[in-house]
Amino acid sequence: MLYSLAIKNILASKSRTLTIFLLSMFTTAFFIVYVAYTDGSHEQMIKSSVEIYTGYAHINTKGYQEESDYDHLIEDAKQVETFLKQKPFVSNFSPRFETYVLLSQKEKTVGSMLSGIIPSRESSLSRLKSALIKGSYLEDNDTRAIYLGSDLAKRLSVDVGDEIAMIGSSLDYSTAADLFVVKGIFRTGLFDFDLSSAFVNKDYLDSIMMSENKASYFVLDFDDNQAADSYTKILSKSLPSSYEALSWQALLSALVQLMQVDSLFGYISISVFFIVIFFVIMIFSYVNIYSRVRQIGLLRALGLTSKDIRILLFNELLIITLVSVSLGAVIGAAATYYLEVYPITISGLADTYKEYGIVSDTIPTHFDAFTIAWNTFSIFILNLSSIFYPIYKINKLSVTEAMRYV
Amino acid sequence: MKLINISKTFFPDSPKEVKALVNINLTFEEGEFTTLSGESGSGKTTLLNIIGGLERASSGSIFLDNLELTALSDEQMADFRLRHIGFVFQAYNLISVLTVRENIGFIMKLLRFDEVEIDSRIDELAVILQIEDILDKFPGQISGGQQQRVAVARAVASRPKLILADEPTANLDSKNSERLMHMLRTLNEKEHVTVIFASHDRYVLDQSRRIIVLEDGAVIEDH
Ligand SMILES: Nc1ncnc2c1ncn2[C@@H]1O[C@H](COP(=O)(O)OP(=O)(O)OP(=O)(O)O)[C@@H](O)[C@H]1O
Ligand SMILES: [Mg+2]
Repeated sequence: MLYSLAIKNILASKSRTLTIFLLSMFTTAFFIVYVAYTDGSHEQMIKSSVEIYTGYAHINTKGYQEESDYDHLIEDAKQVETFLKQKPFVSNFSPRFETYVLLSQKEKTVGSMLSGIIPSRESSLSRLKSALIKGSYLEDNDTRAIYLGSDLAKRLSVDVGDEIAMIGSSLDYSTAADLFVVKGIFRTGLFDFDLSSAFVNKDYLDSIMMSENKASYFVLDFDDNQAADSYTKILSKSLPSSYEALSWQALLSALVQLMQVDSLFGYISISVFFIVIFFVIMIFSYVNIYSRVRQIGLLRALGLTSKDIRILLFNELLIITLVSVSLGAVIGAAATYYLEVYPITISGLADTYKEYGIVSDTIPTHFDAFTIAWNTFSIFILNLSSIFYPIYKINKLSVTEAMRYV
Repeated sequence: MKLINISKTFFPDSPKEVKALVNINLTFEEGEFTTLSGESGSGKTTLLNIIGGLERASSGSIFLDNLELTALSDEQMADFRLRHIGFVFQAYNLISVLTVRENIGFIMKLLRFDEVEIDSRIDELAVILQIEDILDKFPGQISGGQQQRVAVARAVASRPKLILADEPTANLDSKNSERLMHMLRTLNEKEHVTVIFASHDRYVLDQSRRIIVLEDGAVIEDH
């Protein structure tokens, strides 16, 4: 009886019902899409960082992450090579030697990260080769050829074929200097990376820096990169004790944390919006319930307890919220799913937002059933809890007060 | 039903203090048809509300058979009202989202009467109260006189021990008042339901078998 009365009241209070219904439905759908978009962009930023250059895992000496200097280099690169060759789940790997140098052309001088790489092996581990926009990629027997980031080339005002000078420090801390010819220019879209990175053939760089058989670290690919975390744990156990294997989660921990902080701020700012919705629903419930005070007084005079009234009013909102939030969840989930399959593409987006690590013109969304479920559930609970105060207020009136209420 | 030393004071110990009822002692027998009368402000409504448990007495007690009503908790009193008391108020008696039929059957439904029994009872009362034609209408679609008759039907439908009616005729014209009282009297005689009114309306007084007159919260006449 209380249920059918609740449904009749819902249908009778049209403006209340419609307002709460639409509000809950749209907030639910909006929240789901918003979170999917945030998660999607974070995922894409991390994925780009990993795939463009960082890689899914590294092997380096312990202490290298804290101090990436010449004192923490891999001293015997061949030993690590042999070790890695014996691991069937390591599908590709390559050593890198990274050092900070000054590059200059005429009166322009720019600090840069210069990496010695093995060009052929690198091409399957990073996107360096496919990021080429001018000239050509490095080859394994190249000597004085340099591969420059597009923004770095711009700062140096050089083009393919131009000569640039390099001054750095070799392993014995004597000055190392050489001239390089720009062989190719790349562009990954990662702003910092394109602005500060340059690559040369490792063999040749080793001869200048006196770093033969040394490496800053090895970058690796696994047969299943989703399992990078557990593979690196396996590797760490069997590596000589001075080495460690780190997965991308550990390598990019700063970035991962940044994303978490960003998500948190996202939730905080969106929760302000939800609190507003909460109060709007509460006010509508309040006004609606007060417009029915006499009826409620009558029901209590007839013999309904204040608990019955609580159940009746709660059920009214429960039914509206259940239907609208479910509908909102379906709409939100469908929109999210659609956007994941057919992402919105805005040309020029990557250019505008490259500082934020966005390297694609598409707006990424991430469909995740669990996230959608808890988003929906939170809104459901939040909206439902807005009824408690109005119920509390109305039940504080005595039966006769309620019946006399005007 | 026995009322022993019932008093009611509003805003006790404050400058606004009102002694609405002072030491009321009364006994009501089963099947009575009684009116509480008196001038405006004499305490009729207050007494009726206390009997029905809508308000609590400041002191004194009410016994029904051996049950002390004044000792019941709010929840217990609500349940007691639901099972044993039918109310007819001056106005706003009906639940606006329910049809006349649903309004009459409302309490029976809450008490989980059998559907068939509910329907036959509604039809039976509809004939006595002459509301057969409006059973499927909503309260907003019928006249004041019809609304009061529907309220009476709802009050008696579940065969409560006691009907309390506060100025049931106050918003009705003389013809409708007479009709309502006649029907209530018929129900009282047919079903032996106890009816207590609070009213100073001539039509109510004319039909009553016992009249209790209140003045300043005290009984000054009982015949
Ligand atoms: N809720 C209340 N708060 C304060 N005083 C009240 C309250 N209800 C009634 N009173 C006072 O108690 C006294 C009795 O009121 P009551 O309503 O019982 O009179 P009544 O006989 O029913 O009058 P009427 O014929 O006008 O309906 C009056 O003085 C009234 O002002
Ligand atoms: Mg009165």
